[in-house]
Amino acid sequence: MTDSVDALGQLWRQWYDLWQTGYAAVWQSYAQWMGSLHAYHLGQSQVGQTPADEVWRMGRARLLRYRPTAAQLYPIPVLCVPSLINRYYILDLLPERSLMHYLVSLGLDVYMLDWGQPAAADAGISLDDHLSLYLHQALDAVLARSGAAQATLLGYCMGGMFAAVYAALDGSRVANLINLAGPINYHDEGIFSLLTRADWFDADKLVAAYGNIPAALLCATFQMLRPTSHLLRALYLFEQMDNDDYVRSFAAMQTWIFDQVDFPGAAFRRYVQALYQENQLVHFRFTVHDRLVDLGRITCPVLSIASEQDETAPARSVTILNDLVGSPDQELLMLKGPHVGMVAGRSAPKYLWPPLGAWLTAHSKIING
Amino acid sequence: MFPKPDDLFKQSFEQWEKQTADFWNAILRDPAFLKSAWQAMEMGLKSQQAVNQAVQANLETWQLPTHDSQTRILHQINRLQILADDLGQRLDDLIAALDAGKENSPQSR
Repeated sequence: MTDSVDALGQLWRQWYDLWQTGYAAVWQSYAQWMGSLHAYHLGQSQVGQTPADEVWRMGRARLLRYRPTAAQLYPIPVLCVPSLINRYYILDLLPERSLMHYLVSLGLDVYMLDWGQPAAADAGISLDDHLSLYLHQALDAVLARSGAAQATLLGYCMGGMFAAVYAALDGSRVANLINLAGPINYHDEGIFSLLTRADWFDADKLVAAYGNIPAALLCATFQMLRPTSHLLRALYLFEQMDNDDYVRSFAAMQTWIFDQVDFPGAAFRRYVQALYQENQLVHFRFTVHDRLVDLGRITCPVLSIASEQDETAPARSVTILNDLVGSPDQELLMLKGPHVGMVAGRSAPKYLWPPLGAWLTAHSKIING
Repeated sequence: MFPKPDDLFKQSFEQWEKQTADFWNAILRDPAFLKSAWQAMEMGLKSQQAVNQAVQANLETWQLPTHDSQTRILHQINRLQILADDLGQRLDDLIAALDAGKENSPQSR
C-alpha cells in the first residue's frame, strides 16, 4: 500500500516537473518573441530621430537643420542632398547609426534637403527645376540662416550628381563638394546602365502611362535585382531573434527599404535619357535650363567616396568625378560594402564617418559659437 | 565530428542563395531577356494607357475635369507659389537692405 502511494507520488512529481519545464519553456519563448517584437517596433520608430527643425519649405520639399550640440560651430554649413527616390533618413537611420548625428557632434552646422513625396501635380517638375529651383533655393535658405557666403554640398547617391552639377553651375556658393556614392559616369558595368539601355527601355512610355514613376515599381525593380536576398535576411533574422540590437537595426533598414517615394515623371525621363542613355554629363553635353554643365569648372575641394562592392553606383562611375573637376585639392576614399551598407551599415561608423568627419572639419575654419 | 544540423542547413541555404542569385544575375544581364521583359511590360503600359484614355474621354463627355487637366493646373499653381515665395524673399531682402541703409545714412545720425 505504502509502495503504491510512493509510486503515485513520484509519478505526480515527475509529471509536475515536466509540466513546469514545458510551461517555463513556452513562457520563455513567448517572452523572447515579445522582446523581439518590441525591438522590431522600436527599430521602426527610431528612424530619422536626430533632433532637427524645419527651416524652409517649397512645395513638397523641406529643409531640416539639425540642432547643434557642440559649443563651437564651424562657419561653413553643410547641406546634405539625398537621392530623389529614397528617403533622406538613410543618413540618420538609428541613433547609433546616424551620420547626421556624428557630423553634428563634431560641431558642424548640418542641413538636410528632404525632397518629400511628389504628388501627381509634381509630374511636370523637371530635373532642371530640381537643380535650379529646389536645390538653389534650399542653398539660399542655408546661407541666409547661417550667414555664410558658401556651403559644403554633401550629395549621396543621385544627390551626388545633383551636388556636382550645382557646383559646376554655381561654384561661387560652394565651399566644398563631397560625392558620396553618386554616379557621374552612367555607362558602366552596373546593372542600371544595362536595364535602362535605349535598345529596349523607353522612359517616355513609362511616364506617359504613370505620370510619376510609382515607388512600388521602383521598389520592385530594386528587389528584382536579387529576389532571394529576402529569404537570406529572414534566415539571419530568425537566427538572431534574441539579439535586440540586430532586430532593431533590421527593422529600421526594412522600414527604409520599403519607404520609397515616387520619381517625378519629367525628371525621370530626363534622368534616364540624358544621363543613363546618352551619358551627357561626362561628354560635356548635359545642360540645365540651357546652361552647359562643365564639371571642369569645379575648383573647390572635392572628396569622392566610393565602394568596390557597390553595384548601384560602381566605384569607377563615382571616382571619375576627380578626373573631370578642375580642383587642385581633391581626395578619394575607397570603402568596402554595398551602396547602402557603406553609409548606414555596421561598418559605417568605423570606416566612413571618421575620415569623412576629418576631411570636413579640416576644410572648415572654426570660430567661437 | 559532424557539423550541427543548424549550421549545415545555414551553409547549404547560403550556398543555394548565392548560386540562385548568380544565375538570376546572368539572366538579368542577357539582352534577349531584357528585350522580351520590356516588351511584356510595354503591353501592360499600353492597356493602362487605354484605360486612362477611356476614363478621360468619359470625363470630357460629361464636361468634368480630367486627371490631366487637374495635374496641369496644380503644376502651374505650384510653380506660381514657388515664384511668389521667391519674390517675397527677395522683397524681404530688399526691405532689410533699405532699412540698413537708412540706419547708416547721415540724416539718421
